[in-house]
Amino acid sequence: MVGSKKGRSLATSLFLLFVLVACKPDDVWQQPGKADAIFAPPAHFPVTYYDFSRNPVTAPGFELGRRLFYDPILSRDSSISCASCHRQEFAFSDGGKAVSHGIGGRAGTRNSPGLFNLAWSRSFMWDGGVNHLEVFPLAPITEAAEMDETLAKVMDKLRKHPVYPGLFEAAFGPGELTDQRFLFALAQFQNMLVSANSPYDRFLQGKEALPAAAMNGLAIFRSHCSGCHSDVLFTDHSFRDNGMDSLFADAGRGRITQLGTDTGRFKVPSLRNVALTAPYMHDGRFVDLSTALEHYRTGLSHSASMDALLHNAPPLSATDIIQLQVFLEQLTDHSFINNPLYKNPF
Amino acid sequence: MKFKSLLVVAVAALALAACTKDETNTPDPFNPNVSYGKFRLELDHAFNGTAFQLNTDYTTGTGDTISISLLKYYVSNIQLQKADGSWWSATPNYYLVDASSSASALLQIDSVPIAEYKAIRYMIGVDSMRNFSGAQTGALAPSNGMFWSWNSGYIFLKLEGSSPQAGNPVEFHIGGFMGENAAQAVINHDFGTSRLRITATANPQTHVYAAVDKFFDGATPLSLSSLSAVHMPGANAKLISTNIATMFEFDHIHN
Repeated sequence: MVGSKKGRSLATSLFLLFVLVACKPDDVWQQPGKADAIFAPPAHFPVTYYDFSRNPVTAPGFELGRRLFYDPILSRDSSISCASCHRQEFAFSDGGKAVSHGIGGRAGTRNSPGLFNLAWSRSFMWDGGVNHLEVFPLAPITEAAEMDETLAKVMDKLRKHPVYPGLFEAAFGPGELTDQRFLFALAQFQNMLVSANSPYDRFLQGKEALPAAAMNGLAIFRSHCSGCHSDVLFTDHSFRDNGMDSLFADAGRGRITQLGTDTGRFKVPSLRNVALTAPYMHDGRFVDLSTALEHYRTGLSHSASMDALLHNAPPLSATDIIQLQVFLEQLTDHSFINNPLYKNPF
Repeated sequence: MKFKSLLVVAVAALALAACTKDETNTPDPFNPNVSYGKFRLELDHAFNGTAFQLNTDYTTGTGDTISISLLKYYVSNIQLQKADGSWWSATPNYYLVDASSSASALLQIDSVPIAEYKAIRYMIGVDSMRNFSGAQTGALAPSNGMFWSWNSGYIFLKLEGSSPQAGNPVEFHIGGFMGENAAQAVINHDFGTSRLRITATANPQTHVYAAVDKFFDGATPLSLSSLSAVHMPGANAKLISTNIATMFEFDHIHN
């Protein structure tokens, strides 16, 4: 009985495997088995949004992605890399700059957000215009105010490079150095940027207590903020008008969807590591955390397009703001910003 | 336990159904009796009835002068109709036709079940699925310059050039896969009394006439003085896609 059951499940597994193999699109390189996949999601996080079956993270793929992330070869004049505006010590945000500067000091129009927990992200950029992590790097590479380069030229530089072709073969096996492999490698590095070890995470796991003021802040957070910044990623991935303006210099989500109702809506950012990612909002207008929090107490536009949750929100006191800030500081993940895995390899 | 086996069978059936939704053209291990052949879809570009050439002045139906320096577009989702009315779908394949390369306008379709076919349909553009599936290869590689980096999705058709009536360079980048602004154009050709005969050895050619002039006055006449550039999905791209849908006309088959 036991034997036949085992035999049958083996046959079933083989059959299912056959079905899966038959379905595999032929333009995707046969990846190394799951055995060498190194991405390990935190136990208290939900299932990732990114589908790793197509591009599992492997040690050589991750190392290659890290090198590309820190290599200015991606920019037209080899002056800036991804890491120029996404610095580890600031949870991969741009350390105090309201808007980032690309090659030749050209200023962009939006604040460089932190990079972490991207495997759970459903869209990228403040307006969500990028719909997949793998194609995310195309925007900063080609944007005139950022790297101002074409993908075709990046690929040409990589193919002629003394080291990269060998690194690509080590990561993806023999074969052409395609844009897909380049984008897969960058996705592998970015997928590994997991921040899940803040004091709040350890509190959730029952490993440590939070200070009393932070516990008060947590209660206020849950009643006032978590409608949008929902646990455990601290974002619900939606686009909302958080009462910044009544007239919009930047249409935000509306630029992508062309819907009037989306004008002035921006992506709800995660609040993990928020104490490290000043200044705040899509245009970096608030220099520090207390100014950003004060906006929700006294600065809301109350325009017609402002999100209903804010129109109906109960008032916040000055003490609430202080306690909220204490709580938000418990979301700083020091092991993330000090993790040697993510450091500059050059 | 019975329930479990039933579940496994159901899952397997679902998995099979998922990958055979489009009848695939790779030899079918369950049916070794099906034999396969091939054919070529040839796109002959023309403008006002004469062979189309880049960097040549043409007059549009609305009287504008246009010289086109670049014309590229995707053809995908090729299907053939059998005599019994059923449709056969080619394995997902994406062709990037470039007016500067005559070879790119000869679309080779392999592994076609041997039969006589009475109609063809295909898409000018890229189906919505591939627009949000991450990094792709081949014709769909983003380095081909047919992908919007800031608003993810493929540019289905790119037409660039110059016109004295347009204030700026003419740049039509047509695409968009979402909702009411989805801009794929599905082209249907009935072969009439002709038949596309797929045999084991021949490589018959289906000739389609691609009238570039229809881009400017297919369903809606375009005046280049009022619209000479489209750079994103939206109402204008959608409008022009209705012109694109009229550009292709079945000509003849060489069996």
